[in-house]
Amino acid sequence: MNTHPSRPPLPSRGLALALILLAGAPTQAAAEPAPDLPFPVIERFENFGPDHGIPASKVHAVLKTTDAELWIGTWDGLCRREPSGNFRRFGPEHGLSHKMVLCLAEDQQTGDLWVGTMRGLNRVSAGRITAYTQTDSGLPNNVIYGVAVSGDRVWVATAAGAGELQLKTGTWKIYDHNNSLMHEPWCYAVTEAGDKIMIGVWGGGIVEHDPRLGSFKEHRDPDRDFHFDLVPDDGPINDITSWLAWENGVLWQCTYFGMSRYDGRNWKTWVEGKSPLLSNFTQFVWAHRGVAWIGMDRGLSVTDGITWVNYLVDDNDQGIQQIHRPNQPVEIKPMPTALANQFVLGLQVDDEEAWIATSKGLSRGILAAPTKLTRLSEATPDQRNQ
Amino acid sequence: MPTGLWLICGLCLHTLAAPDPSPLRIGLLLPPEESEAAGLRQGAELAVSWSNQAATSAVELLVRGRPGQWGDDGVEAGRLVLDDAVAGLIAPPGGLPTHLALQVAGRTATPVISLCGDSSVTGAGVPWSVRIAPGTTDEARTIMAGLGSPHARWAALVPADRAGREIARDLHEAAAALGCTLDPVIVVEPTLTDFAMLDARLPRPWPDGLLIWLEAVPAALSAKHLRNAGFHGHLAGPSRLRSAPFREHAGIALNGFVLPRIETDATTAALAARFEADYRRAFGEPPTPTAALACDAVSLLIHLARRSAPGELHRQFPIREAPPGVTGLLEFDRIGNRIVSLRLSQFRDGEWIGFKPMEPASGER
Repeated sequence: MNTHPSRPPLPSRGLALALILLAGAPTQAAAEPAPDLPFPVIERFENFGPDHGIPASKVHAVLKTTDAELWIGTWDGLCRREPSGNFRRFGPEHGLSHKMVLCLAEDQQTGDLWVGTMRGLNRVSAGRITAYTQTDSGLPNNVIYGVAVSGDRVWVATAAGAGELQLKTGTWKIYDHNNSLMHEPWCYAVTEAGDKIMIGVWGGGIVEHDPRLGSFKEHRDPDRDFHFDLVPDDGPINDITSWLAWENGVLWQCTYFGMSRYDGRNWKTWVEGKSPLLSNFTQFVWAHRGVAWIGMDRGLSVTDGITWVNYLVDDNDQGIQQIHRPNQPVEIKPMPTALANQFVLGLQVDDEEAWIATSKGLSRGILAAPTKLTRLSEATPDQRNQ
Repeated sequence: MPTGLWLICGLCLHTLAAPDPSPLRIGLLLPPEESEAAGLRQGAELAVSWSNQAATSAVELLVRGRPGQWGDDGVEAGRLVLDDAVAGLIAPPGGLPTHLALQVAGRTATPVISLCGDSSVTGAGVPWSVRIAPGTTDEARTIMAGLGSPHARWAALVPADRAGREIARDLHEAAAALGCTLDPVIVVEPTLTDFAMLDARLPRPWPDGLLIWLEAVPAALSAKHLRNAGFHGHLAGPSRLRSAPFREHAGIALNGFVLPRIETDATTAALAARFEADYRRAFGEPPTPTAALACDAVSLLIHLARRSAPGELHRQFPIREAPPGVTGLLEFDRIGNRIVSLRLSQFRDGEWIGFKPMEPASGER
């Protein structure tokens, strides 16, 4: 573990919040309501890049904390959005273990920010950055693809196993193919799932860990087939798990071969061509109010499992919105503005806005208000599994 | 002046005035434990040298790989992409470093060309990756179909750990496709020195043939021991065993050993001959199959990058054309598997020659 001796110029969280409040509340959705849709749609995008202080075009992760600070992880450093709207960069010179930031998580109890990079894990706490690397801590591997906070534990998904940092004692546990059910040691995602931890394994599906019992349960693609989902809805769509999200008992799995949802009892799978999913190469999913926001190499899909709205960028950089309602023709509309890039790497959505990290800048999706709030979380099990 | 001439002058002026673009960088992930490191590197260097002789814009090869903790190949792949700003990665024959490179590629949209024969390479589903080496399954099927009767009994030697597990899976798939029996599959630990263990673990009567899917030196020593122990069945292995270390260590087992090779393509024969000659001139030895594949991997990335906008190389995948390479036409299926025709070759009278079926081999003592 390495704590950077000098305090980087991060204002306190209270001051930052006050500045944001002084600068005005986040922009309210000012769009026309989207009729008949069970979730909000994006009416337009605002895009942010080098002109706004973002140091690199590739933005890998975005996180809006509970006190409304916006952080992004980029190819060239960690950035925080200042009250001016511009971004301020923090890099290795401020104590960050590496400039390439891959993932972000917030400890909602302490307000600490956890930052996974291509070479080490970092904790941003009270303006100080503390770095953890493979050689000076119990971190399993320096390449941190995913990070999550669960109670007083920080979990990391690394290129050589999952790591669990017990914050009270500072001790680490490592889980890999030697001491758990992991088929491969390559962990690509991790998320808290109620009282469980779900680990997304590249080539090993999903490993469900119960920390109280110390037990592991494996969720693998029953087909064991790389390229074809021989029997739909029989389990995870594929064993190459690229991201996981969990909300209210529902787990969403991204793979490079499509998308899966697991409600604890049933699996549901979607693939390109047989569903409105834009691409099988799903890279990131964010769950909010029973709706999955899915980032891919060809844009963004949003679905409650029944209705889909896709956001694409055409060859002329025109933003396109596709609305797929059950048993109805697809509605295709041009958008006034487009996503910064169609390769979506990270997402965060709340009731006010959607932040989208792309390989060519950051986008903010301005939401139009829904008129009908039939959420998946409020739907019956039969409706969910339609 | 006629309009056409103005246009030509304009184009010439544009060419002359255009600033020299920054070099195209290709990254080679080369772990220090890679047994074919020299050929891999030299084949890649030759491709860069060819490109720099022929084109105005320069190409640089950046090589990374260092001893370290397990999983460090992922860090090295990340450094190639991030610190060195390479346009694409060449991954070595090992499945482990290849997958670590693919994981980085998934998050960064950096194309990967892998020399690993495991089916899990393209099974990972990274859209901007291809496997340029013949697949293990394809090579094993070629061997079993070419040497054995439809219901032949085969055994196999595979390395320990993950590499062996993946190879065994692909060998079983090949055997199943042909209706052959593959049993046992014996794991050969890297520390093995007592090769009598292999003899004891093979069933009696001997299998009709043995697939030796190990690195060159342990493969050669295993084959030599089994021949000395009286095994008379077919001995065969992957194409990359056609190397100097295998030849040096195989002893009595070299004669009659069978390997697949990529069938020579008439349209690329001149290129292959030029590669052979230039390689010998540059490095003082004949090229290995891995060196040839490394040359093709680098050349393919350069070919694709030349037609791509900066940062958009991944959009050239899946590859829908079949440019010529020193190992034949570089043609891939929809998911990135190399499409090749394989033929068997056999070591006889001091050289590798086309395999000609002879008397059926007897596995009996």
